[in-house]
Amino acid sequence: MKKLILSMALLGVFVLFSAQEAHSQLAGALAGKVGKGKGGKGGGGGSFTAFNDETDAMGVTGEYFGLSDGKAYGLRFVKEEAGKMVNKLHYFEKKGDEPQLKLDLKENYYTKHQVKLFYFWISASASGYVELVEVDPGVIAQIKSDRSYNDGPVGLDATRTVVDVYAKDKASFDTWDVETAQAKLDMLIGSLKAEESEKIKKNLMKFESYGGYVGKIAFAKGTNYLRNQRENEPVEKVANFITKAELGSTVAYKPYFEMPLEVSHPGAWFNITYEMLGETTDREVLRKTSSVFSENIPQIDKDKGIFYFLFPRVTVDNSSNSADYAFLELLRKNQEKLKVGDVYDLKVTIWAYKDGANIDPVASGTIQLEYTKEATGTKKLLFDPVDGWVSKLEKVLD
Amino acid sequence: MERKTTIVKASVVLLFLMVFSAARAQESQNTILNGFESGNYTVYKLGEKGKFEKVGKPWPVVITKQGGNVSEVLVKRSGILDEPFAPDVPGYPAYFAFKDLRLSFLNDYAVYYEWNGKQEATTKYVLVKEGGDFNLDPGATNKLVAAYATATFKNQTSARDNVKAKKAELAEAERKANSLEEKAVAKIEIQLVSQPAKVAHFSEAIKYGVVATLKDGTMLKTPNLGGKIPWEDFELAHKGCSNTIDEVRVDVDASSLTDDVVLLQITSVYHPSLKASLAINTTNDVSVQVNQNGFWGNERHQHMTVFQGVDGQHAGNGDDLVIKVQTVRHKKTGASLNKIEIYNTSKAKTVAHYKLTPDTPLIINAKGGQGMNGSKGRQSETAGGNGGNGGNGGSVTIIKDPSVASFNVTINNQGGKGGNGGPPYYNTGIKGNDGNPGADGYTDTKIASVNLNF
Repeated sequence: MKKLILSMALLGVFVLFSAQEAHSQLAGALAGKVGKGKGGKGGGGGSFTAFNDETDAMGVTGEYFGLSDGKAYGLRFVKEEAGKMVNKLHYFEKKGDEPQLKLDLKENYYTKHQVKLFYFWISASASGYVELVEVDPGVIAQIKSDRSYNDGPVGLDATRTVVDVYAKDKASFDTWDVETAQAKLDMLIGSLKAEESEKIKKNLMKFESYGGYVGKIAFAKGTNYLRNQRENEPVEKVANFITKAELGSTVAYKPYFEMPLEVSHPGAWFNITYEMLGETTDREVLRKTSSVFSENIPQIDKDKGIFYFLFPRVTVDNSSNSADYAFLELLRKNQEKLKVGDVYDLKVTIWAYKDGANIDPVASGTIQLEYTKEATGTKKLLFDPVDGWVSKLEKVLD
Repeated sequence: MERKTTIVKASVVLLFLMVFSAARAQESQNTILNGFESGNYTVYKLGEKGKFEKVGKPWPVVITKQGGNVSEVLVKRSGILDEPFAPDVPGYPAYFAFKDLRLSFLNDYAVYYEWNGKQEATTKYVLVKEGGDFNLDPGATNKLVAAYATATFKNQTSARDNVKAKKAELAEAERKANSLEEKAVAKIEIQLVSQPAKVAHFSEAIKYGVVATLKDGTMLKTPNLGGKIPWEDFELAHKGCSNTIDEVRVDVDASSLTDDVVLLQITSVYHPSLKASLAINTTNDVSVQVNQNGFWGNERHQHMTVFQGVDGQHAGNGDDLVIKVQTVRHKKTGASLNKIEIYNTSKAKTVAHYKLTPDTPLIINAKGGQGMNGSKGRQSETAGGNGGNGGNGGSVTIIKDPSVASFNVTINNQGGKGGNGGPPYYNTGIKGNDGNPGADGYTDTKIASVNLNF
């Protein structure tokens, strides 16, 4: 019985060791290429000339040489395996039937744009990501990224850095160094990004909010009516949008853009202006006028890559006791003109802003604000000597 | 000693370059580029160690000029990828832009960089002209190009004004081409984008546009109907709804819905005799919920000054309300409508005026708030804190006019729960007492003559 237990234990250790060895072999293959900078040993060195006699649907299969080490590696595209379509790129560092890595093809990049991008996650961290992209027939760039695990290759907005180049013909290295491969990769990713933006927009148009308000600003009684959990899913209900509110009460707003700012106005960021009763306040202009505004009006440099502000903005929010100081300044400037019972149009414009100037409006909207009669209404909200928004601003500006 | 000398030398060189660059700040890229020609440029890239590394192959750069101004700088990145950089302000460029990348020429070289909102540059490459000299580190390069760019922005005023004026001119030409100004217009009409299913307080927006028919039969439309007439061509005077372009929403206060219609009215700014209006009957059939609940114990600090110890705060009471109802006829369709006024006696203010069909649900919430839970005991006060008391439900009085045959109202005015007592500091200690629940409010219905003037 003791012998049996001992045998079972030894067998268990053996199985565990074998599994670990298989994994470390794979990791070693990766470390050989990805971890070179960290003193990785690097594989390669065999001869894979026989691969050049094979043909495949992609035209990728063959013997490749590394730019950095000059060693030979084998790549084989496998479309089907055991009767199933797999679309994998097998990577060989040494001779044998089993590849050291099996990378997946990002199929729609190829079918729509003929971009041959293969990827593999050996671990969930950014350093565990391997990507190979064909930058020219017979020339493949190896890429590392700054992103951790994703279901599929890293996103198109991730930073991709070419770390090595492989070519079937060593003469290609006269043209294809790392820098050139990086330039071509950036171009390929740029074309994919443009396509992705169009695809996202097409999908966004199906949402009542985005489809009905693109280029405009929607207003609501609170930020909760305009928030949503997932990117590119603006599920807010248009029934909760408002066109009229009490002056001084909470008003949240959300702009919907035709295209993300980084696409429509590369290098720009957002600015907001408020207009009412012939007065205009501009966040960027105010930022330069006093330290109070400079501290309380931060630059808006988020959400440049998406079609709307992920977190709605507010003119004032009484529940969180926050406000846009540019809107408060507008009220402060207009305070002598405001009268009980009157209704005022407030125009909000979101601008593409660059190098000290508003370039183009990217969304705008108008809401009517009513100066209500009740004692607890507008007068209290704006002009209460202690808690009124205008009073509070005047105190800090004095 | 030798190292010190080197540092001093480097500082002098940097200082000289900064001074030289500041002097050049008076010059636009158009002037600076007089000293540059198209050709192959030696490239230094920012390496992983944060230092510049020379790139293997030079990059071709093509400078295109038009009438003394540089209209484009084409960088053939790595010799294969065309990156056409355009001047930021054509008459007085501070940089050339391609996507979010910038290129500024200085001294013997061009800096290829990214820019952020804090007016900071991050150099990615430096392109040195043939026979040119470059020996700065990345930090100094970033500062140099940022100093040049920001100084040059200040000199761009008149060139920017020219660009602005040109843009405004184009916009005005576009506006005039699409406006009704100076056009022979026969009539204007309001057209709904789609027929609204419900027209009531809190119903969805009513989307509308304007169609203008010219005397030659041409039809022009506002953008939401597929045309280009600017909305500034019309003055709006809507009633019973917001006075807004594109879409309107029915007023929440029924006082402005005297005729039971939403009235859209527009006048042409350039042809004041041309007016259009569209009356849409209200349907008064969107369910309304009115919340006049007491605050929760943990919100008490928002309503008054509180001292926060281990005991939870007491919650606020639901407000007392008087609801008056009178049934009238819809002024256009003749259907029964309940006029409803809700008065908050606790706050001495009218909360709402609604007009709803008798079947449309009205939900009134005047519940007491929930008491705040007591905190865990402290070392100095080991027993757990007591939970705060729940608030009482508000009392609701409904006064129905004899005309009211049906009124679909739900009153929620239960007392709030007491907060839980807090746990003791030590397991063997005493737990705090749970707070008392608030008493339910009463609901009273009376029949009495009601006359609501809205």
